[in-house]
Amino acid sequence: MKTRIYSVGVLLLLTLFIARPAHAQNQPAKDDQAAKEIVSKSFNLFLGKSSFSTMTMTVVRPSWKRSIEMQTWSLGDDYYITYIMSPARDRGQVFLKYNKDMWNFIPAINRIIKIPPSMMMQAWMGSDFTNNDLMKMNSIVTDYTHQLNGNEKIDGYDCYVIDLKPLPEAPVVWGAIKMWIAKKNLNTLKEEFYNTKGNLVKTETASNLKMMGGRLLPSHLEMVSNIKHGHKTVIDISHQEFDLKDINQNFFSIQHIKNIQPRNL
Amino acid sequence: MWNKNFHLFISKWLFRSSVAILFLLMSQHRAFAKNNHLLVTGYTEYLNNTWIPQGSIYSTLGINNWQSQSGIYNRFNFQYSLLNNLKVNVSMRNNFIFGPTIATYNKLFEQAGFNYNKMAMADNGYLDLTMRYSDNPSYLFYTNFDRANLKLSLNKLEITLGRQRINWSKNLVWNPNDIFNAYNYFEFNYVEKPGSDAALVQWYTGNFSSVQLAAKLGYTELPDSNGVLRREQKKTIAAMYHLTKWNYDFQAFGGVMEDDVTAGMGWAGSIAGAGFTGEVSWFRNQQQFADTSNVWVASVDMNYTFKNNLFAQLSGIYNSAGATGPAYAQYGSLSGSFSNLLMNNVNAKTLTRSRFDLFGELSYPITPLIKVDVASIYNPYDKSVYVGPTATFSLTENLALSAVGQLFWGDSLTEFGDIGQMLFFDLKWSF
Repeated sequence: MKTRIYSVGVLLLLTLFIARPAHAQNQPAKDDQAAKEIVSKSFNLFLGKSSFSTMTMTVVRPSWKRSIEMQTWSLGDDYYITYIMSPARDRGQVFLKYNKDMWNFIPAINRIIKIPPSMMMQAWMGSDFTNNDLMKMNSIVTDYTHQLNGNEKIDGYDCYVIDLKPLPEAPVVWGAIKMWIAKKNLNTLKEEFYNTKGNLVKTETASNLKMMGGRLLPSHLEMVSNIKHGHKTVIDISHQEFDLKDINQNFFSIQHIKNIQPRNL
Repeated sequence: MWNKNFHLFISKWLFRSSVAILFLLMSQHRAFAKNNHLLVTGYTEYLNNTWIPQGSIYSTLGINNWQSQSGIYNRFNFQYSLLNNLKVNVSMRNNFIFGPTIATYNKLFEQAGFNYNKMAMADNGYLDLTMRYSDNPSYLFYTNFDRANLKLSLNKLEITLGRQRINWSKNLVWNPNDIFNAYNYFEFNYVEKPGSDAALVQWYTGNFSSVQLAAKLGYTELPDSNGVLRREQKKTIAAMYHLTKWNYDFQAFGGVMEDDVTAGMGWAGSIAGAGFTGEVSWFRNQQQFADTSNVWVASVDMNYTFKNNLFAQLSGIYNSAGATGPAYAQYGSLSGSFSNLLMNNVNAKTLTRSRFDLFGELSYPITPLIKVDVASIYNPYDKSVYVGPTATFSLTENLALSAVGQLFWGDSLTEFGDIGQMLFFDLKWSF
């Protein structure tokens, strides 16, 4: 069958990236508590009981780029709806996630497809954001030790520089992470990811800080490959809200994904 | 007479209003893009088809050479919110199909006493929503509305009236539960499929459960025992219950599909991350309920997406009324596999003429912009086989090029014999 069911993974993961409800945090034994606190606070900036966002993800390669634009509603850890605004051929496709179940509504054939777990992990157009980057973001708090390592300026913001090393048994892929967190607003403005051999694999930068949903947050994120020249993935958040009043569990229903309209912003 | 005029009136009205909307859209595209009350999507594609005939029937008729036809297919989907809870959906297909193959098809169908052009442009809905502008043995030019419905939402109750697609599928390949709009697998460039003229009432009993009641009126056009094409009005009425439990979607339905009483169930879930879906349907002729036998059609589907994005799928279909010898032995080669390929006379009961068919598919993105896919169907009884390789290239954000093969092999009167090979090139611009 030629029905297109794809890109689910990254869509879902992006939703997690934007609204990450708090998780119980284990306190590792040896750690710089001040540094850990800074990382934790920075991470918490994107947390909310519920959220709504509009964003565009662009995969950039040396000879081409492709974009996908979506609106996402979330509630707690369990409920997500993502509506695809573009590309044109996928406009109107809707994804619903409830706990471990996931469905895709395809308006052209008026059909709901239940997405099996293996299909959720597909990456969209080879995006540079991996599952680990997106889904286990809270692991930067729980799976690493944190050390303050001086101060540097990024985009005019005074930043703490913090070195992260994975805990012995932590299920992480990185050998080390280096973070730059703005002192004033605690936004993470830069992150470097090193493999276990100590080579820099990719760099994430966050910029264009804006008031969104009552918080000062970066609206432009770039994940640049340090290995493949000219490879990067860009996320632009054009709108962000937290703790929506008109959303409850009934919003996240099969009926609703067949009828949902994108918001006019 | 009144009825006919009414059909004509509705058809013309729909056509004119769609054209009006279209022009409005063209003049104010930006303005509408910002206004969610009207949503317009669609595509325009150019599809070229080369047919390499294979089978004694063609050489008997002197059709030995490669055949070629092209089509320009344009689709508009209009979705307009009249009120918060009242939506209009209209989809228009403008088709211009041309090339020497059309003359060949006409010649072939004449042998059986049928008119190919007429059948190709037939509208099997209760209303005829097809405008046939012009046709001859060289081309077909027509517009068809395959969606034209009003949807009213009253809290948990939804009523949809008009031409719509009622899709009760769970599988990705064969859909024995799809009793309203069963489709022809080989018609790959028409994924939307024809709609049904129907009334659908949906009652959502929970966030993940619903009851549906649907009634469809339409026509079938099939040759009778004398080989004369007969157009008969048919109805399909059924009720369905759907729920989600244990991370599975389940559905069960019962009703009447055309001449048969039917009931069935389907599911969609997963085993160790792999998609696991199935559909089982039962049919029994209602006129001769006592002295006919049950027909069971069942299909199970499994698919898995690997970490490197390789997608693998396996499926099987069982049809208790299917042949265990050459699938078209009782139909003749003209009304056999080839006509099945051309015509939309498939329903949930006749998805395959074989007792059992096996399907396999592998699909892989070689680069993010190039995807290759190969699907195959094998009939273990008559040993005929279908292989469908596809390569899709994303040229720009909204432009895609596909090269598609539909390769059939088999002896005469087998399921995939009497066809040959089809090659397609498709350039599609979505908007």
